[in-house]
Amino acid sequence: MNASSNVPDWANVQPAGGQRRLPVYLLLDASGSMEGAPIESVRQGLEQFQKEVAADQFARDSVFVGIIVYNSDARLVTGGLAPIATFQPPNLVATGVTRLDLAFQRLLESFDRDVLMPVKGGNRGDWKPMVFVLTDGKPTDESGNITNRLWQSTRDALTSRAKGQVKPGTIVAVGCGPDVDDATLKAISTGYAFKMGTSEAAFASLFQYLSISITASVQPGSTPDDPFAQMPPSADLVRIP
Amino acid sequence: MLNGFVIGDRSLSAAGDTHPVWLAAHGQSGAYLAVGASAAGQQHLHNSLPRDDAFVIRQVGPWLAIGVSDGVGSRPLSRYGATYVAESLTALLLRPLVPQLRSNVTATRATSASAVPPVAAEAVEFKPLIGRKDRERNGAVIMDALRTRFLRRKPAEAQKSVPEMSSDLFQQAASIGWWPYSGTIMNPQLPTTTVDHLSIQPAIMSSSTIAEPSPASSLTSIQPSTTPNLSDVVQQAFEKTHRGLRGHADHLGVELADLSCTGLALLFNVETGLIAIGQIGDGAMLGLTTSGNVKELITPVDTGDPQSVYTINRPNFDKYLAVQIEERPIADPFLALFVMTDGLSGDLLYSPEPEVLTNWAVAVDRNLRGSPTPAQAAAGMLNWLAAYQVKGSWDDRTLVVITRKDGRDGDHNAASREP
Repeated sequence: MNASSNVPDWANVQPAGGQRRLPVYLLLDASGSMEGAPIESVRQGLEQFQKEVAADQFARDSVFVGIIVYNSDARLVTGGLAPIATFQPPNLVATGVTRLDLAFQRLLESFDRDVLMPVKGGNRGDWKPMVFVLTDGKPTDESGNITNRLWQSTRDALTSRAKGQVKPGTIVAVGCGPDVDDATLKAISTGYAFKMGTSEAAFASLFQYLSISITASVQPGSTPDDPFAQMPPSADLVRIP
Repeated sequence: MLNGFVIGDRSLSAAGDTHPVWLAAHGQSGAYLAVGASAAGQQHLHNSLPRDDAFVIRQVGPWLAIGVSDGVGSRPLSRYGATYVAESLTALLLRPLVPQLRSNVTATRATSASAVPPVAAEAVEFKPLIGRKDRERNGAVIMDALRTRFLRRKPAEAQKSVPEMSSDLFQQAASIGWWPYSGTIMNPQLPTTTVDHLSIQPAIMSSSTIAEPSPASSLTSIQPSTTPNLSDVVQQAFEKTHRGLRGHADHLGVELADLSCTGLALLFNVETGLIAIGQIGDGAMLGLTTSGNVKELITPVDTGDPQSVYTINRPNFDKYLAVQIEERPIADPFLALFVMTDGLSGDLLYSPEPEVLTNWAVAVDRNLRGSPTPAQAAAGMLNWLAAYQVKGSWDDRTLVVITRKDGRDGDHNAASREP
């Protein structure tokens, strides 16, 4: 109560808190074929993405980013999940082959290490992670031979996990350039897949779409399982039927 | 006919969307004060989206029934489901406990010398405090956002007359009723009693709906009957609500999935302290004991995926329906009961600090009992729900509290506890 009145002081009533995060993973192809303008466009797109998502007052508090760069190896370059407000886009070097399977393995490791499940009396728990996969070609083995043998089993391991384990809310694959295969992109995705060109404008459109879809997904009325559900069509980013 | 009151949200129909942005309600049953409040989340307000939560409090005889529901955010019409579920659950919880209409009906009238309500309507004041800049900074943030959005829809000339900063951007509508307190169960063979105006308790619902006038009430005596199995009562209330939701969807011409929502129901006997609870989906129901502990009254059924929520509209919903009967020891009864949606429970149950939840419950309980009037208790709780800040907490928030007002002098442990 206020000392000077008999009116209760509700300002002193404090909930405990406990923030719920939205983990967003970007799996970025940095194989040799991305060298030059494409990889530079990806880097610029990441900067644009960080600025736009951090500018949204609701997304800024909720979105945490994990960047996995993959070529002949795969690394979670953010170290874990980084708050979007302070996330620094990494330098990207294009070299090597396309080991998408290793990217999915890093993703699985991060799910188990970095994404929180709710624990009463402990932590709030995170939303199901959103995963975006960018590639300019077809997945390969360590020798550069195109194959689906390696990545399919690791991708399926992500989506068919046991009860109580973190699963992705959605996986969206985006293919850039003439060498992508529609069927592979659709097989990677849990919902829709997209393809685009390799121009600077195309990458800018892609990251703008990512920003809009992520800020929309933290809003009430969103459809987290299909983050592009309400997006207007774009000439630069084509949904694969 | 057994009397009681019903307050809270109205079930929405095809006759127009009357769901308010903010709602508060209060009523009394015996020694207990029941207060409900529901506030649209700040993200909802920012995007001009409606509140998706709903609550209803219904009382008859010694029974209080609480229904709370949270509409799924990805379904734009889910509030039509939530309001239906909240109302249906409370009605169906009480129906087995009330004599049938065709029996025990005695048409008597009150024979009091007074022909007017005991309190003049204009003396009852209810002013929500949301928006007072000098009181709540966060309320001011909400009102600024709303004013900006409101101005966008106005032509240039009309913008000049929009108030700078006030709650005049919203209309308030309220229905206020007085019900005779029917705390006594009498032999149906005896002549019916006259209404005692000293025991009339006001119950107030403030909302954007227009309420029907309360009919002249008459006390009807009933014969004490065996209380039905409350576990069955709860199960059947949920089952019938699930079926009724399908009919509601058909009537509205929408898909059943469009009305996706959770369901929390609590049935409480103010005389015996007996509690029956049912829950499907997230949210929480808590009890504050005289020993100052907070107990979670029910644990939702584990769906195997803690990041997903099951809703009452889904098939096989009963597989994920949790039902619990609670009978407290006489030496350690519940002082207060709390029913809430996950917009609030998510901010309460996930702290590693064990004292935080208890301090919160004690503070809310104390504030409600210490308010000068029940109306101010409801307004204070609503204002707090709408305005408190927790990072990442932008969802609708709904809370219903039943607190024992009388006979608390000896309850020092909880009542005197400071947060």
